[in-house]
Amino acid sequence: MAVAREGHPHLPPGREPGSQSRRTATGRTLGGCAAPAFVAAGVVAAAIVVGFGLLLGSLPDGPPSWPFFIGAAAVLAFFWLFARAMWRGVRPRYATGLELRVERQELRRGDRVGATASGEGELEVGLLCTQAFDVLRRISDDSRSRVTDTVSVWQQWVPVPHAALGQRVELALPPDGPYSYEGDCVSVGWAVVLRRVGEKRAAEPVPLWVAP
Amino acid sequence: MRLRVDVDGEPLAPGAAVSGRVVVEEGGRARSLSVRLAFVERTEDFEKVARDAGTQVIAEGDLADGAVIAFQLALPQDAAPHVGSPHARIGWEVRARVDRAGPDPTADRPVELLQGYTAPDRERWPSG
Repeated sequence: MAVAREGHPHLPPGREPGSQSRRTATGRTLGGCAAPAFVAAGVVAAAIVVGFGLLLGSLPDGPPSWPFFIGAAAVLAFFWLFARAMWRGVRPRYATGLELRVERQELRRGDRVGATASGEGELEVGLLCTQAFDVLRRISDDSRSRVTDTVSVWQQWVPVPHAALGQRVELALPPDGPYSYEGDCVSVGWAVVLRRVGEKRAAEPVPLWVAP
Repeated sequence: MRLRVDVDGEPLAPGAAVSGRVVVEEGGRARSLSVRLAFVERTEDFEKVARDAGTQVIAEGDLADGAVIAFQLALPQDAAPHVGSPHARIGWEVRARVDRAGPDPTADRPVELLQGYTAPDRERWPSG
């Protein structure tokens, strides 16, 4: 059973994204489509640099070719890293060997929600609230671009020490905390996440919708 | 021209009256002065009115220095409280606006509702 709305992993199924979330999803999709093109462009650019180096190297008293090979590797690495960053935007990587189930995804502030975590190692379950906000970011001296940043506005972590066979924990939403909101330049989203203590990478989050 | 908006009795409950006054700190020529109550999304660079709960014209004609004009508007019964962080805020605001020739001076004042939330600085969080 799907735990998130398709294309909008921060929303439970059935919840409509706001215009900010739709813009962000479109940007991610375009970035993912452009990633293979950037890899191809990197290969072509590196080949041009190598070809230029070989051509100059073949001339009488021409420079050595090896600096051009290094330059080609740098060009290839630059394009590959750029493509990888765009690809990761579409397909984030999650921790393997962890499983998280949440009993319900539609809640109100002050509600409690049960979650069952399973996996090897020392685990912790987090209840996280993230705010997305639009700002203008300078991309050149006379040009600025609208981007969406995120910031954690509330979080609570509960240790799950013996989860090899699955352990249930209960999480409490703060009665006077933030609530879910989908807007044009500000959105607020809730999720339950599972991770190994000390590791940044978590299992795929389970989004919640928290009504005021 | 410079305005200031004062609101009484915060924090307010959903459905409550939002009463207060607009103080004209620096007056001038004007056609009218109005106040609007709205649910606003606000960041450093953007703002968007997500829900408008009403606008009221509270004065007509020129505004004198030091004038104080009272207003009263009503929050909707299902008004949600504010959620804020150092970067952005959603919540109810009163905007006073002077209609005059040229750019209209405005003054915004957030309205605090019961059970609102303001996130502390991120450094508070030990993990994540």
